[in-house]
Formats: sequence, C-alpha cells, structure tokens
Amino acid sequence: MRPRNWLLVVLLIPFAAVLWPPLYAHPKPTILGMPMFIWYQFAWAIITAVLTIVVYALQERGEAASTERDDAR
Amino acid sequence: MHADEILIFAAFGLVVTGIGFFAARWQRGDLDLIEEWGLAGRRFGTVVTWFLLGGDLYTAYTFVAVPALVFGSGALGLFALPYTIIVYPLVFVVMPKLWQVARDHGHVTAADYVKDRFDSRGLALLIAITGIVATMPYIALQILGIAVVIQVLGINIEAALLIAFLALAVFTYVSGLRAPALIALVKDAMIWITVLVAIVVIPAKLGGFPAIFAKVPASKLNLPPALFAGYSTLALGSALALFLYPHAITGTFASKSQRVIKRNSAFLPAYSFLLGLIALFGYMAIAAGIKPVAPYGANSAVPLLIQFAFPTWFAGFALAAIAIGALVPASVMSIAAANLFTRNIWTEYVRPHATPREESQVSKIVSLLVKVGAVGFILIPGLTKYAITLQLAGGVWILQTLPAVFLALYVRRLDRWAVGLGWLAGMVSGTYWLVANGFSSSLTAYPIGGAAGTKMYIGLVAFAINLVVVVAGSAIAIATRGREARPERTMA
Repeated sequence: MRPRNWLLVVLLIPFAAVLWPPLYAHPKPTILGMPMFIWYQFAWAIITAVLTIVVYALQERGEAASTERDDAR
Repeated sequence: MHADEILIFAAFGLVVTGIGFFAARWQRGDLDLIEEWGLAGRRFGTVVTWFLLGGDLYTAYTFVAVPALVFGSGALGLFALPYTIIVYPLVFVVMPKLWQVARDHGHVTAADYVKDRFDSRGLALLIAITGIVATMPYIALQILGIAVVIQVLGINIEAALLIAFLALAVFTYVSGLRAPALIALVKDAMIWITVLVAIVVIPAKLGGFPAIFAKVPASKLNLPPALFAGYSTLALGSALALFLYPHAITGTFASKSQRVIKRNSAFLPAYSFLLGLIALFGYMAIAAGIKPVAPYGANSAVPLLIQFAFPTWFAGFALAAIAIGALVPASVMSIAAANLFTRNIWTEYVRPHATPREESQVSKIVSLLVKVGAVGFILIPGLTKYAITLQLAGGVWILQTLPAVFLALYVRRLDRWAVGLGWLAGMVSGTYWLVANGFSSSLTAYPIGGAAGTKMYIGLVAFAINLVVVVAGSAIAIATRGREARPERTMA
C-alpha cells in the first residue's frame, strides 16, 4: 500500500471543490432551470463517487502487484 | 385519511417487523455474546454493509429535516451535499485503520479503543458518555420522523407510535444488530424506489424542472456571501463528526474486513446523490404551494408533498419507506448506546467481573431503556423541541471526541491529559456558544473578517480550540515528562 499512498492526495480534490462556495455559488449558467450552485454540487457528488472507486481500484491493483513482488523475492 | 394508504403502510410495517424477528436466525451466532448481539459477529460483507450503513446514516430525520430546511431556509439546506460528498474520502482513509485496531483487540466501541490506546479508563468514560448523550436525542428524532408521517396519514399518533416502538424494541432485543441490517435491505430498496419515482412524477405534475425552479424565489436558490463560511464549516464539521457517532462506528465495526469498508466508501457516495435529490423535494414543495401544518411545521413539507403528488396507494408505500427508514437507525443507535453503557460504564465501574452472558443481557435491557426515553421525549408535549435542540448540540459534542478516536490513530505522541483537557475545552466553548445562541442555530457570528463578523459552525470552531489544547498540551507534556511511552500495539 505504501507506494500507492500518493493516490490519497486525489481524495483531497473533492474537499477543494466543494468547501469554497465562492467557486460555485452563482445563479448562472442554469441547467434544466437549476442554478449553477445546485447542479455543480450534484456533479461533484458523481465525480467524487468516481474518484473513490478509481482510487480503490488502483490501490487494489497496487497491493496485488506488491504481493507478487514479495512472492518473487 | 384513506383506507388503502393506511393499509399499505401497515402491511409494510408488519412485513418489516417479521423480518426483524427472523433476523435472529440469519448468519446464526450465539446472541448471548455482545459481539454477536451488538456487532453481528463482525461478519457483514460488502453488500450488507452498504445497505446497513446507508440505512443507518441516512435517517428518517434526514429525509424529513433536510428538505424541510431547504423548504424553509433555501440554499443553506443544501449543505447536506458537500457534507456527504467529503465524508466518504475521509472514511476511506480513517475507518479501515480503526476497524483493524478494533478487530485485533476485540474493541466493540470507540471508547474501548480509547481505553486501550491511552491506557485511561477516565478518558474512555468521557468518550462513552459523549457518545450516549449525542445518540439519545438522535433516537428521539427518529421517533419524531415516524410521528410526522403518521400525522399526515391521519391515524392516532400515540397508538401508532406505541406499536412502532414495541416492534422496534422487541426485534432489537431479540435479534440485535442483525435485525436493522436485514431490514435495511428493505428500507433502502423502498427509499430508492420512492425517490426515483418522485423525481420523475413530481416534476411531471408541476410542469418540469425549469417550471419548479422558476417558482422558487431567487433568494432561496443561491447561497448569499454572508453564509459562505457557515456553509462550508457546517459541511466540514458535520463530515468530521459523522463517523464518530456510535451508530456509524457500530455499523463499521460489524463488517468483516478492511476491504469491505474501503469498497463501501467507494460505493456509498451513491447515497449522497440520493440525498441531494431528497433535498430538492424542499424546492418542489415550495413550487407545489405546500402549506406546512402544526405542530411539525416545515418538517411536514415532504410527507405533505408525497400526499399531494401520488395516488393514495403509492403515498402509503412512500410514507412507509420513511417510517421504516426511522426503524433502522433507531435500532442501530440504541444498540450502539447500549454497547457503550455496558462495555465502558457497567463492566468498567459497576460489575468488573460480569460474564459475557451478563454483558449481553445488560446491553439488551439498556437498548430498551434508551428507546423508552426517546419515545417519552416525543410523546410528552413540549419536550419535542428539546430533542431537536439536543440533537443539534449532540453534533457539536460528538465532534470533540475526534482527537481521542481519529487523531490517536495517526499521532503517537498524544498525551491523555491533553486530550481530556482538549475535550473539555471543546465541550465548554461549544456549549457556551450554543447557549448564547439560545440553541436556535448551530451557526454563530465570530469576530473575524469585518465589523459584522463571520458566521461559522459552532462545532468546528469548538473543535479548533480543542485541537489547539491537545497539541499544545501534548507538547508541554512531552517537554516536561519525556515522551509518553505508549505501547505501539494500538497504533495500527
């Protein structure tokens, strides 16, 4: 797991994206009548789900690879 | 009042109660052991954990109160979105570590971990009491969620609540954590169906999404700059606090491996999206011209919207979904509070030589008592508002246990006295600001950033003070006494 720890930095992205409202608290542009303030946060709910799944998958792969290396030794 | 609506509501209640009793036989274990009754033997896999945690964290009160806040206050209510967006990356990192330590040392509660980690019964007691005090009003709010739904159905609230309470109390007593886990499968399916149907049917009835948002006053659709800091501190503070709650920790500890928890933090964000949709119901209620009714005010907005938008049979289904939605968290919360009492108060201070059988028996009885208290809060007129107030305060208080539980996993040189003092500083300052606010809001203005000050979440500011005390105190302790020689075994 150690060599893949940099992956955890990816998990900080959602924090930066949603904890700074000046970034997205705007009435426009609208989607389906929804102001940016609302659709932006919905978008990040989806993006965060994708990010956590990707990080999980890469970590699993990293762990599998490192066990293989250990086995080869 | 419609017969078919009530019939369907009652039928689902009955089915779920049956499932609750049947759960005792599922993944059979010796229910006379606290690890079996209270943690279901730590055997839950990815799918069960996903439903259990989803059903446990997204409570009936969430379904009612989040849209109610959007309905009443507008954009601020959407803080539930950033809150649940950032909580899972956090869980992904922290909870597998905590699970591993707990599993390796047989910890059932967070306070068990604290006792071992700091070699301090006193600190463990503080953590246990904080957990119990934060959980009890939360259970009361689940009962309130059921009450709000029942009121809309138009049946006798006292009688219906008593029946719901008896079912909940008895199946929890008999089956332990297996009951809410199995019921959660049904609950979550019902909630997903309700929300996905509602998100299509209600806009169709109201003339489409653009028409809905056009009817909502612009001031409720966007966050004013004065609330920026309040919004993000509320989201961050709530996210940090969520998995410190005993019911969240119990749900996590019941999973069978680290991998199950990691997988779940990858897949649980699906519920954040669901919660966002539920929050939008607040706007839909505005567009539909819903008039909230006494005594539950804005909290009745969603049940009324359901009745307005759906044929009676589906309204019965949807209202049952919310009511059953209350049973799962109420059950897990009562189990978690009972485990804390048994492990960290009863066997620690009252009966140190209690047998495992007695331990489990005490837990079962306490789970009953905790719920009696919760129902009392809702049924006795005038007490309901205290349940809401205390739940608000509970969030501020539970956050103060973060250094002892989460930080302790990462920072070796924490001093137990510093952590205890930090807890005290956080509790006192947080409670002071809540009282100064008349418990009306969890945001208060702090004298920074201009003459008007900046509104921020009380819990997070109190936590910052807590953290300063912990860090400074630990540094002083190390300087004067040398390094705290704590065993490394509980560090993971």
